[in-house]
Amino acid sequence: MQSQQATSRNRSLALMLILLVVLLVGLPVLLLLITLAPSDSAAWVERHRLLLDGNLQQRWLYTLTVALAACTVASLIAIPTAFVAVRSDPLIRGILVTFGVLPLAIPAFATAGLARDLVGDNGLTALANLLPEPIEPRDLLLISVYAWHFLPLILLSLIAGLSRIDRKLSETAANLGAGGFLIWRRIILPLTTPSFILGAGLMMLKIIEDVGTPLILGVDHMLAPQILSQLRETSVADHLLASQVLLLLLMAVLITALAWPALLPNDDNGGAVDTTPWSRHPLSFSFAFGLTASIAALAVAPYIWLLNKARDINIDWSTLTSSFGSTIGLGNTLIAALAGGMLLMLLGGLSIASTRHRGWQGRLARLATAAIFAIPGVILAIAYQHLQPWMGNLAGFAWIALVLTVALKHLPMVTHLFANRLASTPAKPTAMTHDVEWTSRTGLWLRTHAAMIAGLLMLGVTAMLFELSAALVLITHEPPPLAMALFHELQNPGGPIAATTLTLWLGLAIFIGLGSTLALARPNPRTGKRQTKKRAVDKPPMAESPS
Amino acid sequence: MTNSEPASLDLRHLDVTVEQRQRLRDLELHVLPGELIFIVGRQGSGKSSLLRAVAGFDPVTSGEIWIDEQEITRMKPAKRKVALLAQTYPLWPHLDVGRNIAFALRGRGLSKTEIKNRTEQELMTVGLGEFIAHLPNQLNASQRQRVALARTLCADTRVILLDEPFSAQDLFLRERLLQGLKRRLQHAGITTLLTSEDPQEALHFADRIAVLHEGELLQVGGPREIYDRPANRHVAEYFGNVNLIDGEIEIVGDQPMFHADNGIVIPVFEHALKRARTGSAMFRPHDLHIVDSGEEPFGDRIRLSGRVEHDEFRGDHIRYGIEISGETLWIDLPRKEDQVELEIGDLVVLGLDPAHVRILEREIHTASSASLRPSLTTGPAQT
Repeated sequence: MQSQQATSRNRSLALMLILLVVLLVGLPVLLLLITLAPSDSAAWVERHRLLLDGNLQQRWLYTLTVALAACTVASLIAIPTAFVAVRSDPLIRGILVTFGVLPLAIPAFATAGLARDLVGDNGLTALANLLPEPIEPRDLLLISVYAWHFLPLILLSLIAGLSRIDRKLSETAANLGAGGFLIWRRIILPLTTPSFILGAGLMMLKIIEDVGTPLILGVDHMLAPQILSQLRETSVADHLLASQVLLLLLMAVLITALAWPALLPNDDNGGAVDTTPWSRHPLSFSFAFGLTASIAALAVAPYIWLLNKARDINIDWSTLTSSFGSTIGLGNTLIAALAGGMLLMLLGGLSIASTRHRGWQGRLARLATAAIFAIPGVILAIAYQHLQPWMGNLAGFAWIALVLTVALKHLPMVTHLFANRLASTPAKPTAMTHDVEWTSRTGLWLRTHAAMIAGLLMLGVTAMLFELSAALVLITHEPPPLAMALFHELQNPGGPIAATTLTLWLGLAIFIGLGSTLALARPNPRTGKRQTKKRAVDKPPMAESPS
Repeated sequence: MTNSEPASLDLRHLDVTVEQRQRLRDLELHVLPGELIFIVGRQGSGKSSLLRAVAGFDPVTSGEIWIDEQEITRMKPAKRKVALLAQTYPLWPHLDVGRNIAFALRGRGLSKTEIKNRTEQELMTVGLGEFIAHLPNQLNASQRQRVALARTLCADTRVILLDEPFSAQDLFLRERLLQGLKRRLQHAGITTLLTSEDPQEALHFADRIAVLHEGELLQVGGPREIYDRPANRHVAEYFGNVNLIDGEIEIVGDQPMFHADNGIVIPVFEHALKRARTGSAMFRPHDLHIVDSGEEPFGDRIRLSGRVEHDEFRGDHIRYGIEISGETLWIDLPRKEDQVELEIGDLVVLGLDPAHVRILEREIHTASSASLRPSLTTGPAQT
């Protein structure tokens, strides 16, 4: 009876989620696509001409090249780090994961600002002399910033994937006479590939939709910043802008399609997972030690540099206080952050709960959630902005749209992060019966899911505080959110608010939130058996065995 | 499986420590070529560690492992040619059933057709012929275990280690699979160590049984020997219901007598006491019988009067608990048409042939390889 109720509830939640995704993502994007579609044959010819135009081709090719190069560099660091982390004892693993996550604690554009100051004009000139044509120093800087900043996405995804590989799988292969390379090629590599693709796909999506970093570094070939600058000058019906938006959307859809198998929930080998320990050989130990030290140095260096920089800044506190009121919408930022956190908590809870439903409604809800990956944040923001005329003079529409964009864009990620945790939570705690007062039942439910609720809330707040691309599209006439103010400061250094000091404060504050979130998102040790997709009819064995 | 000569497996004073916990202590076992040995014991007794150590996955801290004339103690697992079916029957989740099995057949110069035919044949053997294209997550636990078993049996090896290979099977399948497996292993001359927590399974199918307890071998012997002449209380209790009465041996004339703490006196014909005079008299429920009121005393048979306090229906027989001098003794009575079933509270007289009684030590003494030799525990007591 209780199971039926739970199934019915999960089905309703799944349907509600589908409806919300259709209303909040599908409909606005569809309306935008209708506007972007060419209205007559002349428009078709113009679009065709633009798509074949060298400038536009150069931009999307450049965007894709930067994304691929950054992904490759990040992978070169993340792959060995993930292997060492998974197979080491908990202390080394903790150190590697903590330092591996550290880059995410500073917004990407702020990392770009740091990198620009760190290298300086002299460094850029020196680099220009070293690099062959047509690579420019700023391209290299952009790739490095992206590789460093988004490294955690590949690292965490790989760690999660490798942690699910039971050592008995490789032991069985060894037992059947397979050597180390064969085991790696036939067992480890295929089992890790989906996790790698997921991390790399997510990283590429983040790079192609990023606006702030190229602008800070003065790189003007990336597609997303071009869309933003065009948007400020013209409407979405403009042929060039429409072509660029469609190209960006197409790239995101292609990347999502490549990562699609990894995005959908799948059954793994099941049972308790026992990973292969890292070898105690002195060479292996030295490698692990060297790698850990390098990652730690790489992760901590920007903070040390920031601290050093902050010492030299003379802050005029009187100007700073007044600036908070006039140049930053601090109050709005905090309210939006809280609203973003709450919304992500609700949507995330809805999405995670609906993953429990095994019917078509559950599958469709999972599909709808995963499909949000394919909509870049900039495009979703443009879609909301496009709706503004229909909204009349709705107060704070830009901020509402910003909150919606951030919460919806992070929905697939939180579903992936937390679905595993919920799956390992008992579906019906023994005390949760109808004999117990509803207040006690609610209390018990809250206690059971407190970690997940807190994690969702913190992740939402963090994401909202970091969001720049959507803010740049949506917030045009009001005091900007904190991240946008920081961006302006970094673009034009020397303003009333000391950008580096604020970045440091923001980075450290958010690191606490992000760190706790990731710690909370760690899946519980699995206890129960996993549901299998399809069960075939069993047959008894033959009585006679072959000789 | 290979068709070459059967191999012997020798474990000499094996110590195995995993994660700072000693799993096996001074273990000594000689497995004859082509022999099927059941390793039995409770959970955590070290059964899996024993197999993993032989396969090269758990580190041997001291001792040696030999296959025929070759020492393999420090050899890499891939080189040992010892096939292990792990307790969790792991299957590679990204490979379908056919590929999982074909993996074990690679590198033997077989053509693709030969590999396919052999794979199909192996799957037929375990009743999964139609599942060749299924992924492991599309199978249930029983099917997954059978695929893993089929894959292990494909391995190019002369020694096979099976860690609870039928734990996921129902009783019907388990028995049929075991029969088929034993026939096949005998035919191919494969030396096999098979762990099980089911003593009945071991008694039915094993050539010999080794009883493990907390990392030490308590007894090795044939099924009859283990059942009839257990080395100690633990072995006796492990292999089915047993009556155990505590007491001590006293010599009366030439005849040693067992004086139970509750006053029962039993002449001793066989005991396994090594260090103490105190011990436990052990006999199985089927060693007892109901004495008819008109029956005359016969030979050395002793009579015990008691009251029925418990009964359990067991299908072909009924097990009664008879309270005698504060001790409950179990007796199995076969169900016959003319047999009057006992009622709770009935007074009965039980007969027991002292020749079926064996005196065991109360505490478990292990670690000595000498104690594994069953001949030491047979014959009348010479005290």
